[in-house]
Amino acid sequence: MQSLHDVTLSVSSGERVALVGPNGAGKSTLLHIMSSLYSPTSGTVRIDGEEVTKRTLEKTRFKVGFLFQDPDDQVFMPRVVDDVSFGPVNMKLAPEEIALRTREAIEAAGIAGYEDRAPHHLSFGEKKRVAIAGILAMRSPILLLDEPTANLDPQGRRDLVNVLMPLRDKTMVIATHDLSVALELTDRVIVLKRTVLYDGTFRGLVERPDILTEARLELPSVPRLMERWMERTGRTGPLPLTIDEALTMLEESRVR
Amino acid sequence: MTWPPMNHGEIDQYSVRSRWYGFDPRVKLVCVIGLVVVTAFMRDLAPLVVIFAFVAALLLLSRVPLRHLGGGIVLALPFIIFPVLAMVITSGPMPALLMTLRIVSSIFALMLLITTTPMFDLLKAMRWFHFPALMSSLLLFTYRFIFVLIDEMERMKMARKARGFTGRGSLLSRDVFKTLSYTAGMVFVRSNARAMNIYNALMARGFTGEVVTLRRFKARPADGAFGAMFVCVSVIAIMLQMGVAF
Amino acid sequence: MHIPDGLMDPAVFLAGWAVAVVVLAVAMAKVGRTIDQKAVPLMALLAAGIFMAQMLNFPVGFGTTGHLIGAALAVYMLGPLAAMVVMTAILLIQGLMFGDGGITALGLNILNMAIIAPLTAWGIFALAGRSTWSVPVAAWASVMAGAAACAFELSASYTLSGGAYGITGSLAIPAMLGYHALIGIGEGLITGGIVAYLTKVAPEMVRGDPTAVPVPRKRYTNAALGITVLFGIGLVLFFMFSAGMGDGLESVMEAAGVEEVTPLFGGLMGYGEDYLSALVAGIIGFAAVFAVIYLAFRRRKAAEETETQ
Repeated sequence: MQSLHDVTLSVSSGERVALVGPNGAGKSTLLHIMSSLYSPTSGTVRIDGEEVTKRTLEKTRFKVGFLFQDPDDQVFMPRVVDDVSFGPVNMKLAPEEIALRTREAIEAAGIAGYEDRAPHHLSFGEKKRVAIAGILAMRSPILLLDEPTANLDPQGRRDLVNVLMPLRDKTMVIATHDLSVALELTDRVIVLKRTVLYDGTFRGLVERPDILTEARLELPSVPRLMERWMERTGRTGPLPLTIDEALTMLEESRVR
Repeated sequence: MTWPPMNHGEIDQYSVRSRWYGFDPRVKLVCVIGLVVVTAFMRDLAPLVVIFAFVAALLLLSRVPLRHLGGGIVLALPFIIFPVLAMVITSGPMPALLMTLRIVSSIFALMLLITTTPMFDLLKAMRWFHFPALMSSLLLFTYRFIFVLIDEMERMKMARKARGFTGRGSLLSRDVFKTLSYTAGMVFVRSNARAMNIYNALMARGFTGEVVTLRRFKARPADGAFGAMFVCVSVIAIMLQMGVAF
Repeated sequence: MHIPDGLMDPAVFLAGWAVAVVVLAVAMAKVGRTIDQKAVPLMALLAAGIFMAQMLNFPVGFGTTGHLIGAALAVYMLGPLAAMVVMTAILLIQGLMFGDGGITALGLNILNMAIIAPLTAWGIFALAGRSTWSVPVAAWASVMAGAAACAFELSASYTLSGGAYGITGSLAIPAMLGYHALIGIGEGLITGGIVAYLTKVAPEMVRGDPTAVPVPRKRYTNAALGITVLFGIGLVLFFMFSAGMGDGLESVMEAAGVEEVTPLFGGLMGYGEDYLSALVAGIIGFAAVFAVIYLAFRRRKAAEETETQ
């Protein structure tokens, strides 16, 4: 049985896309294909217009940074600083460049001071940040993130969003169950269940309860609350998706 | 935890703080191997005492906690005690003493190398000497996966404990045996999936199979002095063995 | 059974290195050709698994414990050549991580645990197929073969060095063989258990090895295996028999009519005159056995290729 079939999509430079869907939908598989770790049984993958083949793989490898779901699988080296610099070292950069990128990545990921520590002694959230630093250090223009917020505590999720939010120049594809994080970070959502069920805005998705059901998705609490409030009060208008939008609508109603 | 593999995570940390860490791993590798080879040929008291004193001194100066050093001796214990006893019976106490000195000195020399050099540096040094790439990749991954397996094993042990399994009773008790082999098998199966993930994660960061470390090898004059020390001791030992008067 | 440095006579460990390097070079070349990059982590996982299994101590009576060697398991899952590479990797990791097993002795350790043990297990699988009972038997035999080789090396060291290295055969052989006969039982049970479990739960992991010997056995393989097994048994019996009479190795030399040759480093090392000739005899013996097995492989491969054409 194929995990994916008939998937055609393209992501433009600088776009941020959320990839959502139920367990077993093939989100992980799709990301692996996008990063050239798996090859599709049919079809092609193009990065920057160039088709990815065995020969071009070397060039395109460093254009895509992949954050794996389990940081234990990603963090390999005995010290944090060794692991973060793993990518740049493989890129065969000059020592000063390696040191610079490592330092900056460690700062950006919020783990300054952890350089000499052994990753396997760190907490899950800390390990996640080490993994992110390792990706950031490579400065890939494209980032693929596989369930980045899974198993993180609320502060951890907040930290992650804070790290990713400012990276405006990067193209991101985030596979996640967590629609509230997807709402915060991305503008476009693709619903995947072995094939593409929906590709568009969140607002549009909200108006398709059939797709939400089929993909076993649930809106985050705020829109769900507002949905029921709007039913009860007869208020019409675009469904607020974020806390700010909800507050605005509630304030307006209070004033009326 | 004193389980040997856990110790090794520590060893990598401690090696950075040891006095001999800073010396070029390639030089250390050659020196230690050379000394061990020389030691293996020594059969008289004088040269063995010289070598033993030298290695023991280096170890004491290394600032590595002694408990890491004990490990190597403990592992070789059956192969020290039995031959030594046998030798005392068949050849007399002197040959037994000589063999003990030989074995222990060699172990100390190897420990000197291991406890002052992180594993990846050691592998990279070996690669520099054209140690086969296939084997060095294999060693790299095996090293990593040992820790993965320990993780998985701990998790399964906890899960078993939570359901009341205590593991008492010998290997021959059918229940214990079955549970232990099932656990072993399960650990393997789960580690299989993780192993592929780890491999993919490494490939995604541009891994080519070559051992990669931050550290650049650069032999300095201090390394020359370090090497010279070993050469001197070896030469003295050989001369003593050959009976050249001192 | 990890031999430390300083225990074996230089002639013995040098011979061990000679054989180990040659066999490993062949094994690695062949393995390197047949696997792709993805197989390395899987081999490494198996190596890590066997490494961990080697940490398990089980009681073998008389208050001592033994541990798994794992050669039979490796052969069952990967075939003889890859198993040799994996077992060597395990030995290297043990040496590099814990200092378990020496550097000069590494050649002998590889010979005993990464060459002789796997080949013995493979021999049994080739002769008797892969079944519920052949697995424990192969495991037991692999341990015994390795132990016998080690006992031979110890006693050869003792004899060649005139009592400065090694252990005398009359002690080494019964001790090694007796102790490992018991360890072999544990190895047989554990290996059998693991194979049974994996066959049930994850059969794709034990489906077979890429260099598998197909069960319709050919004459020359049988011959090669028969010779190896007989050689092994004969060697062990010979030394057990002659240990009481003193110098087994010298008897072998007399029987073979090998002349005494002036040694190269007699002055330096202070060894006896028979040093070099004994060394030569030992190497010739190992080389002969190896050559027979290797030629058998080659001919079988050629036969298979002509068959499939």
